[in-house]
Amino acid sequence: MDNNPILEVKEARKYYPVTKGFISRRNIGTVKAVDNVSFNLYKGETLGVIGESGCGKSTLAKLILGLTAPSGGEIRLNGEPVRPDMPLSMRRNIQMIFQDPYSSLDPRMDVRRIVEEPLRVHERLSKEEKNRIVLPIMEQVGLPAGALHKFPHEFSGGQRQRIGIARALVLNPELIVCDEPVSALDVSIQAQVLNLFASLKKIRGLTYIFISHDMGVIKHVSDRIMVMYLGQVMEIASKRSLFGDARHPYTQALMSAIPKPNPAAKKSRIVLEGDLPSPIHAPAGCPFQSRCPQAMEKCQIKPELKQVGEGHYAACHLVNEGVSHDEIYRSKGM
Amino acid sequence: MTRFIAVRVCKAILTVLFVWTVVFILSRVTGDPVDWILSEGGSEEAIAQVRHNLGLDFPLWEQYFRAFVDILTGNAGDSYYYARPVLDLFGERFVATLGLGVIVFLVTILVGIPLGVLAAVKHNTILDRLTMTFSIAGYTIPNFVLGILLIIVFSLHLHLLPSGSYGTAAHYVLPVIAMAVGPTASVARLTRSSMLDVIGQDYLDSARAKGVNEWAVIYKHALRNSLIPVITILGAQLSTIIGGSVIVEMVFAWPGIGSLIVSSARQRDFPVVQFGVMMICISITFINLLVDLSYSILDPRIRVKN
Amino acid sequence: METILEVQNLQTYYRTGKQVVPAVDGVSFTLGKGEVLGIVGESGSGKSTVVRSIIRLLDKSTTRIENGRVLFRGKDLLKLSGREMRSIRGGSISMVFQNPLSSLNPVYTIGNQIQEAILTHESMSRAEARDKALHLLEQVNIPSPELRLHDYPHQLSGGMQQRVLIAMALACKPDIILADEPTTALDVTIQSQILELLSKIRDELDMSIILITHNMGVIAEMCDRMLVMYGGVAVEEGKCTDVFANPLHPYTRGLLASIPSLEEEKEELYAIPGQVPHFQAPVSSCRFCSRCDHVFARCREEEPPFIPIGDGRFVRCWLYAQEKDTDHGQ
Repeated sequence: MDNNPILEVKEARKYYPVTKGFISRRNIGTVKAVDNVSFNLYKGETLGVIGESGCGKSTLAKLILGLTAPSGGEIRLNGEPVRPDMPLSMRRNIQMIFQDPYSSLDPRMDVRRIVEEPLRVHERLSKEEKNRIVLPIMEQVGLPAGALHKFPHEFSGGQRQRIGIARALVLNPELIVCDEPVSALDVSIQAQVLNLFASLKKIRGLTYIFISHDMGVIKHVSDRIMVMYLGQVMEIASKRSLFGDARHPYTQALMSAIPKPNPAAKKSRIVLEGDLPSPIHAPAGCPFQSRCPQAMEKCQIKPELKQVGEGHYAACHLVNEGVSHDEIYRSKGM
Repeated sequence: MTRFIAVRVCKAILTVLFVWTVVFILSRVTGDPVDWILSEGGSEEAIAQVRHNLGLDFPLWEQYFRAFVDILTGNAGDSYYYARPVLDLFGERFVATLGLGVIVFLVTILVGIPLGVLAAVKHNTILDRLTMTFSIAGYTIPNFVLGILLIIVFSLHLHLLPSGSYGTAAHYVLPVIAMAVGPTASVARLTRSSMLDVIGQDYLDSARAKGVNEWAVIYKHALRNSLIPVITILGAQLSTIIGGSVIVEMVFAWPGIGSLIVSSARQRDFPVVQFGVMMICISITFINLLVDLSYSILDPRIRVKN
Repeated sequence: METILEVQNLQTYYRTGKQVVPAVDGVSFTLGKGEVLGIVGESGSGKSTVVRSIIRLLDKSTTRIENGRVLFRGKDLLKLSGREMRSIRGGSISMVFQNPLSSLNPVYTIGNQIQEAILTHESMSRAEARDKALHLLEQVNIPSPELRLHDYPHQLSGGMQQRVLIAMALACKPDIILADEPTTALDVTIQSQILELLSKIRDELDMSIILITHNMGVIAEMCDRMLVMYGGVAVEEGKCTDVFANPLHPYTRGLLASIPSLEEEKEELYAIPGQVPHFQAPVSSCRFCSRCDHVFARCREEEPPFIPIGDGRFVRCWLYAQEKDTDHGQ
């Protein structure tokens, strides 16, 4: 990984106003789907984003893909701002892989049309030129060339996901955002697709943002991991740091909540009380305070992301005072 | 909740006003009623006199408001043609149309909904196919064509039932069939597809897993959920019944409101036409309002926000 | 341990058009009192169909139980009349489904739906049923239960909805709860709450549970014994500790190896090659042979029996057949 980030996200926010009223809509609240998220992404790395419902990971994906404009802050790809009105030449550089292999492929288009569609939008190529791009990709994703004239319903979930991946690769993007790409697949197929992601990364030098709710999957694919809760970043660290020494109580609870395939393992887990709060009624201060087993008075003030180790930051008053995450970004003049 | 109702009532009022405007303009545009009344022509004074009597010499916008207020307060004036109070004319024919309409509507509900439920429950069996074939035939055939066919078969050939006019229970049979087949077919079809959607739902399995018997599963759990789109169409069908009675009334020489309105329109009898159309409009708007409000009763997801 | 349920050679087939799919093709197992049996498998393994067959909650127009016996309290459930079966459902054997929101009727209140579970089997006044419903909501740790009784399903969170479903399942103090992927649709931290609740119920009420899941971690945490299913049959059975420590069937081994582990680092995940084939009855080979690393000639010719290894362990694999069984006479 070199030192220049390909993606810079600075204090990104996405707020949705909640209105009531027929004639004059008055604002009765705001859903802060993404609330002050900052990070850099370097070429060739995989950033895993983990969190539960309402944490904002899908909205973050939309912001990064330029499908919606940020309400605040900015997002830059190779220095250029990412917005819904960005030029096609930028769009082709960020592609997405979706969660549901059954609804993300148009059932009325055959595989060739699906995979070639990005090429048709961005370029004018002859049939041979298109084939020169599409056929090697089909091989890379493990689909036979004969699949091109078939329709999505003729394939299984895992194979459909491969079609989606092929479609994402066809424009040779730098960055691929994967939104829960294996959650809908069986475990044995999941392993095949995860291996595929790894090999594509090596062959094509891809950079991924990998969103998932499955800790095991995130651990397997990521280099760095970002933990989100109610639209904010709770902890961000390298894989080793996070799994070796998780500092935020939410991360700890998340890891302990995962049932491990080992009956002999000790069953002392942190079971959180209560439900995930609704994003409309996010508490002031630390968003996790309503469920945190170690909540204190101070938590009513929002904690900043502070450094707790090399490249490891956590937003919690319990961690040692260190240099703030945002200060580091500001000091690097970004 | 009150806001919910208030909003819908406002929309209903605006709808009625809009229809009134259209009725007013359209009826005036067809020509001058004085031509009909003094069809042999007359002196200028006579024309002016008639105009004055009929209130036609007021400026248009004043006629617009006066007539609207009059209709709402029940002072519909006198028919130009019959020279009798409009209300009397309608009153005489009201029962005939209402009777027909109510019976047709009841048939639609009592036959259409159970038929749809049965077809859904016996999905893909012969019963289902037959029901659906009948329903396609039913809502395709125009009611007056069916009416005429019924008259030919049952009155002219079989001499079983009277071919028209009004009086005994036997007189009701053919007009009711002619008018009810279409709406019943539509309702059956929609009930069926709505039920099919609901039948696949998980919560029905939950109910079965509790040991609830199959009839209760269908009627208590499934039907209530599938009624929402059906209520919508019932509202629309009721509107059709009210309005579409016009043509059937002509086929069966039924002394109802519809035929009165049609003949009055030809005669440019403004007061009758205005009152008739507005009455239909207000009833249909009211029915739609009731349908809207009923959703919130049927579906708590609309009534109670998260 | 007292056996409370015994399934013998259950066969449930789907018929669509000309195709006959053997969704469950000869599954046998027992369930003891107070025991949690896990059935693990991927899609198409037949695990859901097994429990639905036990409680006979199948779509009669496409699915039929062809064969087998399900013995409960001395009677074969498959031979009971509709009415007798209905008194068992929700009464002695309850079921909890996967997706909590869609498993609750949106137009009736929570209180109404729980009361239905009670009043279907026990006759009491509405007021008594209401009190009992309140008590059930407390048992499943729902805060402010008096208020929740009047709520509609869409007003509750996913975790609360699942608790309500569990409360409904407990209403008539059943002997067995069949839980079909009860936590799959829930967030991880909520999942652990529900699993804890199920453990508590099992301990306090000595409840027998059949837990279906595709998640090996859930099996390891919750279950005493497990059944691994593939292609409509059980391929391995045993105590959880035994199976996890020493998985015998190549499919079980492959499954465990393909889970990204939180403990160790794996460069590449073991991935079972290929995918589940479409089976058509009758099946005359090992169902896993097209994807197995250890396949040999016999696997393709004959389906292996469910071989007992001892200590409650069974495997359906020719690798474990004794030498003398290999002359096809046995």
